[in-house]
Amino acid sequence: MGVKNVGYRPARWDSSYFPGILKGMWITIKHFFSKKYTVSYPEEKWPVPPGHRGAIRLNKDEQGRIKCVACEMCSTACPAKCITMKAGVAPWPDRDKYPVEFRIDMLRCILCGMCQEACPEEAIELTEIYDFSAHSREALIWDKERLLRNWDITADGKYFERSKTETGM
Amino acid sequence: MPTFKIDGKEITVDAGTTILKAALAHGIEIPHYCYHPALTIAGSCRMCLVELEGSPKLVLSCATEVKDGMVVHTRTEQVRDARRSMLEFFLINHPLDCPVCDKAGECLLQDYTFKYGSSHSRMVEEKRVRPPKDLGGSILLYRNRCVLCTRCVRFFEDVVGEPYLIVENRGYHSDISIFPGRGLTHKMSGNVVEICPVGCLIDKDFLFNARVWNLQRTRSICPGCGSGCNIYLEHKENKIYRIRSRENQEVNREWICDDGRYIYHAFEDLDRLTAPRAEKEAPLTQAAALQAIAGHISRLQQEGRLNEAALCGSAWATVEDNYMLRRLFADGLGIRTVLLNAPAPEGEDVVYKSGFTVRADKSPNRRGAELVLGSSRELWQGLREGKIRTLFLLGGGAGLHLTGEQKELLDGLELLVVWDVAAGDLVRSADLALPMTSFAEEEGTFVNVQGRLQRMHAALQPPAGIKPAWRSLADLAALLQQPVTAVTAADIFNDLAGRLPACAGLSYFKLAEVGVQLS
Repeated sequence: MGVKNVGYRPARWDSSYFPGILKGMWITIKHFFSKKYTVSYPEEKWPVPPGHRGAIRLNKDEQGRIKCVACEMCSTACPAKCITMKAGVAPWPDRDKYPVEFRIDMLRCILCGMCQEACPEEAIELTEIYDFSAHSREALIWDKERLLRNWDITADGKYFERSKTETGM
Repeated sequence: MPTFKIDGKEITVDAGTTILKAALAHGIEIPHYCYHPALTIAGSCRMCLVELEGSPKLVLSCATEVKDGMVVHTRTEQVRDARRSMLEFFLINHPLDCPVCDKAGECLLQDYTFKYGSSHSRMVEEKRVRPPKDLGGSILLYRNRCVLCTRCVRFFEDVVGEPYLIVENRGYHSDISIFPGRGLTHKMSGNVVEICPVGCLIDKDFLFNARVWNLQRTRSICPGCGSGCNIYLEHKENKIYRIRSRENQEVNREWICDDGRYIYHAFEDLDRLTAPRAEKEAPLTQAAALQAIAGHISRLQQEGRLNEAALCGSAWATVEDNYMLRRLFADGLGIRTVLLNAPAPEGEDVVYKSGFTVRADKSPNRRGAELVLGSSRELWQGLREGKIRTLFLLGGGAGLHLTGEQKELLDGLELLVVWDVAAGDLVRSADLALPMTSFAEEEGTFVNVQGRLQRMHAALQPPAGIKPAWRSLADLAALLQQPVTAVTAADIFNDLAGRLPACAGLSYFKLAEVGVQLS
């Protein structure tokens, strides 16, 4: 295959690079005065739209007790099989069963939200937390306390207004 | 033999058969709660109503005998409507607590509501709430969930022959209850949890332990006594969560006793022998232990002292383990003295009204060991004569305790080689102890007191390094250059079927689920 020579030769004015530089500078200067999009992550966080499926939380009821009744619907529905729990007799007179242990392996979790859909008690939900990376694998296997803490920092919908020290993320 | 028509299907049944029985036998499902094949007919749940041509009202299929020329319909609008209405009645006070109910997943109320019921409730009133009641023993009564089928009440009357439960009060206030001052501590009471069609009777032993759909089922045989009851081991993640009865009309019908139902706990916290062990020494490797045994045997052979050696089978070990012991030591090496390690019977057989028997012989395989060992003598009797210097002993009885005299007899031996599950008294007396798999860890066969050969499957993975006794015996045979080879338990059984006339022509495949009665 031969290469077709279109015979373009820049004019003297063009080959001085000035028009190109000026055009580029014009765009840059224009953006100095327009709205800024950059978010200084991680000091600032981009608030995700409602319905975002991020890290999982375990909800609490009005009395501050874990809502979960350990029915294992979530672990049954989970396609990644990342939820394990151990049920026990609840310490409260008005409840039968509660999870003694509840563990989610976030390394396995695919954030599909099936657990949330399967839950008959609205006790497990996905939150707006999207940055929950950690320095070890062990730290990503979340226990009951960790999942309940996710409720504490997201329940009022002000997760993005909280400081890094407050959320721990 | 009457012939009748049901849903357009012509069926001929034995005289006296009810419509429900005939339908179920021919694959037509009629929902039912109070009917149970092993119990008397109550006709109280009204779920099995069917349309009978010529009858002005729907009839109870569980209580109506088939007559020649009857025409029955089970899928008409009228029948469907009756079922829907009955379910609505059942659900008036039934709590919506399936998420915390242990029966969920195997509950007939759940299944029938899903299949025949209405998807919404018209009940706007408050549901009646009654707290659960502890019946004593290991049974909890969740009264809110009861459908008053009275299966549990009839179970004690018909099968056990001793009434324990009653229906207290009448009508709306009816309630399952126990006679005052009595606890549900009967040896057969665990069965009521199994026959309860809903989650009313719940086993404390299984309470909140697992959801039933997560459990795997493995067919096995109860090792608790000589009856050889057929059981299901229900397990998850290498742990048994519960034992349920498995129907075998020739042995235990639908029942098992509580001794068998909770027997898996006895194997849970067993102090397992996990590696071969020489007396007061650090653990050996399996190869070193087998080398030591082989060395001792060849020394005995050279000195011509093999007649001082004996082998001892076990009534707790499988037919395969015992057979392998015999093949190697008796047939292969020519050791003539054969002993049997079996427990003395505990009291009398306990027989209930339906014929269900809890045997006094607490070993599961005495008949099987006797069958494969040929003529054998009782272990301690044989040892008392004092002629035996070397003993190859198969243990397997968990929690076996030796008396002072028995310990002395064992200590008097020149060499005692023991295969055992737990590091118990036998292992402590042994010069060389080798581990073996425990109950539920290896497949094999047992012969019950009636002479029925039954197969069990492996449910659990044994702890690392533990092999079945037959496998270390096969390895030892290879070291001693004996022509005994086996890769699986089935190989041993096939070999045995070729040599023992009583088992001629049998195979694991032929034993199937219900076993074979040996002649």
